[in-house]
Amino acid sequence: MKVRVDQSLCTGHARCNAIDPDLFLLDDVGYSSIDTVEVPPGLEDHARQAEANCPEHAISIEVD
Amino acid sequence: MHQSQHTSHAEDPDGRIRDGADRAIHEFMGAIAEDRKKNPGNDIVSGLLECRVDGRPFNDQELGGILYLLFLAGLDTVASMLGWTFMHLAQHTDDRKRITADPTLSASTVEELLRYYSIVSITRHTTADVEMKGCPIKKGDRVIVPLAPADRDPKAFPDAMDFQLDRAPNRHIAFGAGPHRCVGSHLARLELRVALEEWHRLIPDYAIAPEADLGLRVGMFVTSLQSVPLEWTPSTGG
Ligand code: HEM
Ligand code: SF4
Repeated sequence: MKVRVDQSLCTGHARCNAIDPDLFLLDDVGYSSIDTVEVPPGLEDHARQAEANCPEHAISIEVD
Repeated sequence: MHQSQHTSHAEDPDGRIRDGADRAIHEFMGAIAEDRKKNPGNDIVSGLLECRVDGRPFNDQELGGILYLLFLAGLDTVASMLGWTFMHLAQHTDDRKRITADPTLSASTVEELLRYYSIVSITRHTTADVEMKGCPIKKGDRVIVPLAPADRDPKAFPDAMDFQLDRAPNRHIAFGAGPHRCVGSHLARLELRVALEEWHRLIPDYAIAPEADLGLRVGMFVTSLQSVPLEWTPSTGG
């Protein structure tokens, strides 16, 4: 599973980071700093929760 | 300064009270800006002074506007949310007992309070003539958009009218969305969570005073209660 954050949509609510601070890294001013990352095994649920929680619909999941 | 937003037209027909309060806010924030020019620190006002937009700093009018917004946006909002929070928890004993017993629920409770009681109405100017459900809106008209209906939209939230303090996901827009979303959301969340945890650690049981008039006020920007008088019996134990 991969998780992708569309940087052009992210406005820095940091809801993803609240769910998993290690998976959803933020930059210095609080915007998501990840593009597409591989979800480590066991964290799929965190990725799904973040996708469902992002107010800007900036997060999407790709299942390989 | 409270009077800037909490005085109605009827109470202040010529706007004198509100203008005076507005001036007091500008003076208060202006004095902070003057101080930070001399003693820059690691705070938001110093940050705004250093900020460059299109290569230039803000002029006095722009800076004054931003500081005024910062003052108002951060004050009445949190105060109003605290009113709704304690009204809700005074009236819903089950919810109150759950968060008192398990403070780890406070973060999701804050989110559900924000969703269920979305207090802010946002304002926009239309950029074109449009028609909404048969109502014509002219280009340049000002529209006020309450966020509350969106956050109780059954298409977005299952059992939207139910308060579920462990609701997940909870994709509410109580802090707005898009480029103007609330800059203070992280501070506001922290303030609300600390208030919940500290209060219930000390005062787990309380009720709204009988016959209290909470004084609902639907403002142009913030919907709030004028007062939420609570009563409780002080514990005698240690
Ligand atoms: C529970 C408390 C709060 C709620 C519900 C709330 C809600 C909102 C909403 C809905 C907006 C968007 C307005 C729009 O789109 O026009 C907003 C903007 C803003 N908020 Fe908050 N807010 C809260 C607390 C705070 C705090 C504590 C601060 C500052 C310390 C703050 C500062 C701001 C500022 C400066 C803006 C304007 C952002 C912009 O226009 O780009 N807010 N807030
Ligand atoms: S929740 Fe969405 S908008 Fe907020 S920081 Fe994460 S990706 Fe950005």
